[in-house]
Amino acid sequence: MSSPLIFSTKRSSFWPVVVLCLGLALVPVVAVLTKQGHWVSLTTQMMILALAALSLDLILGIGGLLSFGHAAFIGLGAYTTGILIQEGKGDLLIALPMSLVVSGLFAFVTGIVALRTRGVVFIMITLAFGQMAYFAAQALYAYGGDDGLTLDGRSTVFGLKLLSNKIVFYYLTFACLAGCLLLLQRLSRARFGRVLLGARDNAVRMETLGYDVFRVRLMAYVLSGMIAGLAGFLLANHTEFVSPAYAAWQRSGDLIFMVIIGGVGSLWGAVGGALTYLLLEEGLSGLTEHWKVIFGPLIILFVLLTHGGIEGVVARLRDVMAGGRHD
Amino acid sequence: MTDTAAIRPVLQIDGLKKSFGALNVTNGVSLSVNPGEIHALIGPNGAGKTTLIHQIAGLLRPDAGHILFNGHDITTTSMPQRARLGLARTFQITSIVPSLTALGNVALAVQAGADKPLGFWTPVDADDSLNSPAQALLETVGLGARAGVIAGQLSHGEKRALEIAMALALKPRVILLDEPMAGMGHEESARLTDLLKSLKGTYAMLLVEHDMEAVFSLADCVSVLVDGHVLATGSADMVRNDPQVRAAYLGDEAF
Repeated sequence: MSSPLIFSTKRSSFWPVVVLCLGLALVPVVAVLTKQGHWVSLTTQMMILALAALSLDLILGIGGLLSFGHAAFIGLGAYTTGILIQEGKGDLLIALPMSLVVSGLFAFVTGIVALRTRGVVFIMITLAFGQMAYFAAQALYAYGGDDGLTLDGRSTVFGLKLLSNKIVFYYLTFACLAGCLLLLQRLSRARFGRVLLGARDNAVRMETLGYDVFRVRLMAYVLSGMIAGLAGFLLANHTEFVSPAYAAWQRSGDLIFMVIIGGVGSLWGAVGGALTYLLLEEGLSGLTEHWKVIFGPLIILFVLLTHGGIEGVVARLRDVMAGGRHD
Repeated sequence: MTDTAAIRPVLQIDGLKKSFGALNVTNGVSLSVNPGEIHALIGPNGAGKTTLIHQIAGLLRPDAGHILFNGHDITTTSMPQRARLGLARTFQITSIVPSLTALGNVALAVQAGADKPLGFWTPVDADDSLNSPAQALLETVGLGARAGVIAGQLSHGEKRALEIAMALALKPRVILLDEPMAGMGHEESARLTDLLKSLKGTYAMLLVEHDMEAVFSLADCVSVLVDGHVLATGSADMVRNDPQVRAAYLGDEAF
């Protein structure tokens, strides 16, 4: 007897993940061969935001918690790294753990407050915390204030300037993204993930089974915040610049859109959604300066027509190829 | 109902009070459930039965009074903690995880009592240490063949049975059953009555139910709740013939 499918929404994600990872792994090779060097940098930036979208999908898609302040964690990771670089302590061995600790702590403290609420209140509280981080960054006059801060360079690794190499930095980012994707895929299918999903569907039921729903959600929230902090570390190094805009609510909104475009709760979909979103933005902004007039309706149409984003489309394609057979 | 004095009740409620504004929903309720016994709680709509169950399960905090579980005061204990102590419940309005399969729902309940309820790495779908006991419980409640069905797509009666399987998975000492037969057809509720009868003796149950046929065939002891207080407690026959109860609640057609 084969084990019955437990997650109704969880189709096998093996092939989409393989295709995504292989594709991203080959980008630098193709870019070098075709002499399109700027693709490497562009794709690095896209992967960093995909990492942040992926972290959001853990709490939004699997946990059912719509955080509207997720960019704050990117900002915290980026500012921690930026300040450490400016203070001459920007080595990866210091800046990376510090970025994770700072974003994780912020998630822990804000999570303790925010996770006591639900629904619209949760959205508003996370938005408020996010704006707090944004205004705090603006008030950092010693580090550029409103204008942001141009960094002296990238983090060193054991004192070596390894990360200045675009290709090395690309693959570091790629490894972070692929590693976190694998981690969260496993997590979401493990016992922890099932409890988080159960609490999304029916929190009271989970408590009557003996689960401490608040604690489980807080753990997921902190993990999610830390991964977004990792994205912030990468972003500061990539752009060699930090700005309050990294933590702005518009950026949090972008992340939500990326997750929705990809298909909420599928994890790899968040990565695909982020890449699609940013490619569209890139392509359209090259066409006309009024690109947002096209971009907005296009996103709305996409969401309306696909029913479940990229993940939904892929699932239906597979159904068609399997002769209409489900799973 | 022989030598009840010698048996220590596993669940004892003492002078419980709860009001919402000026409305005294629970007005000094005391009752006890003995090990292995079914204590039925009946009463007209609005008598405060579900509010009482919510307080015992920990969803609502009483204003006054005590809840003793196994001799320990659990009046202020959190809901998850009560569940871990062995107090399971089902809901009047079916409460399951609709996006998991029937098996997944019960496995989730089994997992709550497992050594590591929150593993981060090992996939849970093929975890036999959860799925085997879960499958066995599904067989117990007659859902063995429906294990792979998404719980949200089960019929109403099947969902009610699933809830009972989830409660049993907690290896509880007491099960609070809030109108398990609600919305069931005659045949379904007869089947559920048989199931509860087979569980009687192993688990203590506090049963809230409107289906009098079920109540009188199952209960060792019946309490009648009217306007937030217990009007009468006793064996099914005693309660059935109590003139006060007849006047307050039971229509003649129930006899």
